[in-house]
Amino acid sequence: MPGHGKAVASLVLGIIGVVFWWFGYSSIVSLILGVIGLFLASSSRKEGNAEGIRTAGFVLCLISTIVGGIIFAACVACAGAIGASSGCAALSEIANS
Amino acid sequence: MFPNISLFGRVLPSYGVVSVIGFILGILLVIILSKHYGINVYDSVEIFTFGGIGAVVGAKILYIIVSFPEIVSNIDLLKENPGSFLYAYLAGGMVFYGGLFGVITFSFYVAKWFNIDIRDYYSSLIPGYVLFAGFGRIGCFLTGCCYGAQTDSSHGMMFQLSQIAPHDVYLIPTQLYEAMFDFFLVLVIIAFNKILPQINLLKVYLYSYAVFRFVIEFYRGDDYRGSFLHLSTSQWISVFVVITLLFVGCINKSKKLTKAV
Repeated sequence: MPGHGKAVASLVLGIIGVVFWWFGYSSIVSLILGVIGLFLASSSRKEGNAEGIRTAGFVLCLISTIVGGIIFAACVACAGAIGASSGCAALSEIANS
Repeated sequence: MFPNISLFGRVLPSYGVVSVIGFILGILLVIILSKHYGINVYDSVEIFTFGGIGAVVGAKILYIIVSFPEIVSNIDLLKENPGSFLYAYLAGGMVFYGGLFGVITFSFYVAKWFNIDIRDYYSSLIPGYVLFAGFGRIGCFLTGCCYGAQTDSSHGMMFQLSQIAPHDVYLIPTQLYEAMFDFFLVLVIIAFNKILPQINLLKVYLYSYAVFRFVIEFYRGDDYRGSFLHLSTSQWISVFVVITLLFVGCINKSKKLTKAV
C-alpha cells in the first residue's frame, strides 16, 4: 500500500504526543508531534493510502495537537500568574521598605 | 466572566476550551455538509484542520506584528520574569483578522497540495469556519477581552474576574453580538448556497464580516489597541478587504467582457 510508512509514523507520533500531555510543559512536544503527524497522515493519503491506520493516525494527531495546545497554554498561564504574583510581591516589598 | 475553567483537576483557559469546542463542532458541521452535498469528507476535514492551524498561526503573527513596539519595550521582562512575558505574548493575544488570513492561506495551500479546487468545498468549509469563529468570540467573552464601551443600558455586563476588562463598570458585550452574528451568518451562508448555488460563498462571508466588523468597532471599548485617523486597525483592514474584493470583482468582470467580445 503506498504511503503505509507515513501512515504508521503518524499513528506512532499521535501515541507519543498523547503520552507527552501528562508532564506539564512537555505538552508543547505533543503539539509539535501532532502537527508533524497530521502532515504525514495527509501526505500518506495524497500518495493514495486509504487504510484505517492512516485515519486513526490523523485523528490521534489531531487530538494530540488540540489537547497538547490547551495544556501548554494552561501551563504558560499558570507560570504567568506565578510570575505576576511574585512581581507583585516584590513591588509591595519595595513599597513597604 | 470566567477566564479559567477547572476540568479534570486542571485549571484551563476558558478561551482555549471554548475554541476547541467550536473547532470540534466545526468539523462535525463540515462532515454533515460534505455528506449532504456529496463532497469528499476526507478532503474537507483535512483542509478544515490545517485551516484551523492556520487560524491560530495567523492570529498570533498579526498580534505580534501589531504589538511589536510594546514587545520591544518590554524585552527586559523576558530576562527578569520569563513567565509573565510568555503569558503576556504567547498565552494571550490574538487578532481575528490575522486568523482569517491564516485560514484562507493555509486552506488554499492545502487544497493546492491535494490538487483540488477549493471552490468546490466552500459550501461545507465556510459554515464550519464561521461556526468556529463564533465560538472563539464566546471565548473572548469568557476571558473578558475584545470588550465594548461603557454603557448604562440594561444589556451592559460586568467583567469582575477578567484580567483585561475594567471592573465595576457595565460594558457592551460586543463579543456576544459578534458571536450571534457569526451563528446567524452560518445559517445565511447555508441558505445562500441552497438558493443561489453559483454565488461565491467566500465573498459573501468576507463582505458581511468586513461591514459588520467596521460597525461593531464603534461600540468597542478596548481603546488600548490604538487607532489611526479615528479608525481602529480592524476598521482599516475591513476597508482594505472590501476595496480588494471590489477591485478583484471589477477585474474579473472586465476579463469576462473581453472574452465575450
